This record gives sequence, C-alpha cells and structure tokens, in this order.
Amino acid sequence: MKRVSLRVLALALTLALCLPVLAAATTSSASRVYYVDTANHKSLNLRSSCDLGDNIIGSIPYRAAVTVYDFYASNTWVWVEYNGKSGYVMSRYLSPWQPAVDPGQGGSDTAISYANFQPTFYTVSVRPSNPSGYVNMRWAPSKSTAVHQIYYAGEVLQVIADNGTWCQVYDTSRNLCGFMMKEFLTILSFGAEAN
Amino acid sequence: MMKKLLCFLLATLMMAGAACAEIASVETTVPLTQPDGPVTITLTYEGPLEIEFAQDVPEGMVRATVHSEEHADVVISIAPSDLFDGRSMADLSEEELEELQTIAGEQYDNPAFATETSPEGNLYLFVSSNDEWDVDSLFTIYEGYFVELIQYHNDFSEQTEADDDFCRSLLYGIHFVQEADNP
Repeated sequence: MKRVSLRVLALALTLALCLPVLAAATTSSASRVYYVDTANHKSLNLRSSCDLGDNIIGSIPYRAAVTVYDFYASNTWVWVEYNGKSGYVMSRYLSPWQPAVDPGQGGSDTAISYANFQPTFYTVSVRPSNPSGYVNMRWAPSKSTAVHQIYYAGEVLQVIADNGTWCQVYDTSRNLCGFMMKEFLTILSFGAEAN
Repeated sequence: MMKKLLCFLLATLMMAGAACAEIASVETTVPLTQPDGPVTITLTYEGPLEIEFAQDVPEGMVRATVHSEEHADVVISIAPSDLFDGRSMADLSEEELEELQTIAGEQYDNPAFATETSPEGNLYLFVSSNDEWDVDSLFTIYEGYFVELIQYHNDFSEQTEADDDFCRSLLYGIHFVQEADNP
C-alpha cells in the first residue's frame, strides 16, 4: 500500500513538473505570424504592458512580421515577439497579410485606383477606431471620395475584393456596395455570412 | 359687479400665462443607459424630442438617433472600453489624448479637431471630416465609457451653424450621474 502511494506521488510530481512545458508547447503551437499594418505606415510601438503609458520598449517597422502569442483586453492588445523581444502592441495595427510595399499601387489614401484588387469572399465586422464611433463606406477606394453610408461597431458586411488597404464591401441588408479601409474591419469568417 | 369681472379676467389671464410658461419650459428627459447599469447617463432637452433606439447593437452598447426636421440628425453612441476602464477623458495623459485624436481622424484626409467642455465640465473632442461630405462627431470618455455624438445629413451634405447648435444643445443636455449620487 505504501509502495502504491509513493508511485502515485511520483506520478503527480512528474506531471506537475511537465505542466509548464506542456503549456509552453501549446502556446507555441497556437502562435501565428502577423504583419505590422499602420495607417500612416509608421513604426508600431512595442510596449511592456497593455496600456498607452510611458512603457515603450521597442519599435516595429511597417510590414515587419511578428509572432502573435495571445490576445488581451477584449482583443485590444496582443502579446507579440519581434527580433527576440516580446511585449504588447495594439491589435488594430496588425494584419494577417503583409501590406503592399508601395501603398501607392492601388492602396493610396487619396488617389483613386482599382489596381491590385483581388476577388475574395469573407465576412467582416465593423470596428471603428473608437468603440462608440463609426466607419465610412465610400464610393471609391480613396479618402477623397464621397461617403456613401456610415456603419457602426458590430455591423456585418461581406468583403468581395481586397487590395491590402481597402476592401470592396457588400451590405446584404441594405443592398449597398462600396469601399472601406481594411483597418476598420475584423474578419469573422471566410465564406458567406452565417445566417 | 365690475370689480368681480375684473378680478375674474385677471385670474383667467394669470392662469393662461402660467400655462404658457409651463409649455415654454417643457423639458424632455430620456435615460440613455439602463437604470441598473454601471453608469447612468440621461439626455435632457428643452422641447419635445424624437429619439429612436437601435435594437441590433452589440452587448453593452447604446445607440440612439435624435431625429430633427430642421437639422441634421444626431446619433448618440455609448460603448464601454477596456482600454480606458474606469477612467475619464480628464484622467488621460497628453500622449493618450494625442493618440485618441490621431485614431479618431484616421479615416479622413484633412480632419479638423477642437476641444469642447460641457457645462458639467466633461472634456469633449470634436472631430470634423472637414470636407464637402460632412460628418462631425463629439466624444468624451466617462468612467471607461465612450460617449459620442455623431452628426450628418442623410445625403452627407455640409452642415450649417444651426446644425452645430442643435448638436451642442444635445451635448449640453447629457448628464452623468455619479455612483454616489445614485439612490
């Protein structure tokens, strides 16, 4: 009986020692590569904590790849690693796709260009810069074109074409089509809207 | 007899005057948040108010459109923010205010910014698209909640000073009830 108890204790100790390793392995397998995609193409601040205080520990250039480990504060902040240094960045400035080298090629904020748009089909949710804010749907992929409609947080749209900076979106409920800046959209699923 | 008639006329006039005064000072107060919510926000307006609450909003959010026949409609949007949990606009550092201003104007080519302080002392940030397709917004943060007034015409045409005044009168009617003030 004493031998059985010792074996159980040994097994429990071995498991306890292995748990951190298992946890690390799980985190590592769940990590993904994302790219810095800031609207002004400036570098992204790497911070030591999930807030905007005096905590900048590094800078990550536009288009650089980072390893994403976890999301915090309702997905507002992301724990990332870049060049061997880990810290937190705001999730809104990361994209699963690497942004274009020259944003002028179809991605300019002011010039209207339909170049580099790739047909695609995925469902997105509108994510304004402020949670109480709104996002403009425009007639063409440029900040200088007229606003077609205004959308609020959580509204769901279909993306039918994408050039990395702008998305051509379709609103099935209003039967409207227009263009929105990709940074204000969160991907919900690939394919048709689930309804 | 004449004296009685005069007294009656005077009394009638006084009653009518009091009734008119009552009509002139009619106020509409609408709760913008649930009574059992973590913050209590109300809107008071001098006159009748046509207000429509959106039903299809994410949990924790409130969105109400104040319709007006004469002015551009105003959408009042209230949403919690984990990023500013429990803090108000006045608690933010200069860097945080600058960051807020930058991200609030990100979708415009040449946005205009200004700050506005409501009679209650809340600091609001004004953001205007500043182009011929006009959308303006005024927002503040109150104990972790973003409170924003967004104004535009249905055809996004340029807004007038009267539109601005209407929006400002709504802003001035927004009241935040401190937890300690709640019974």
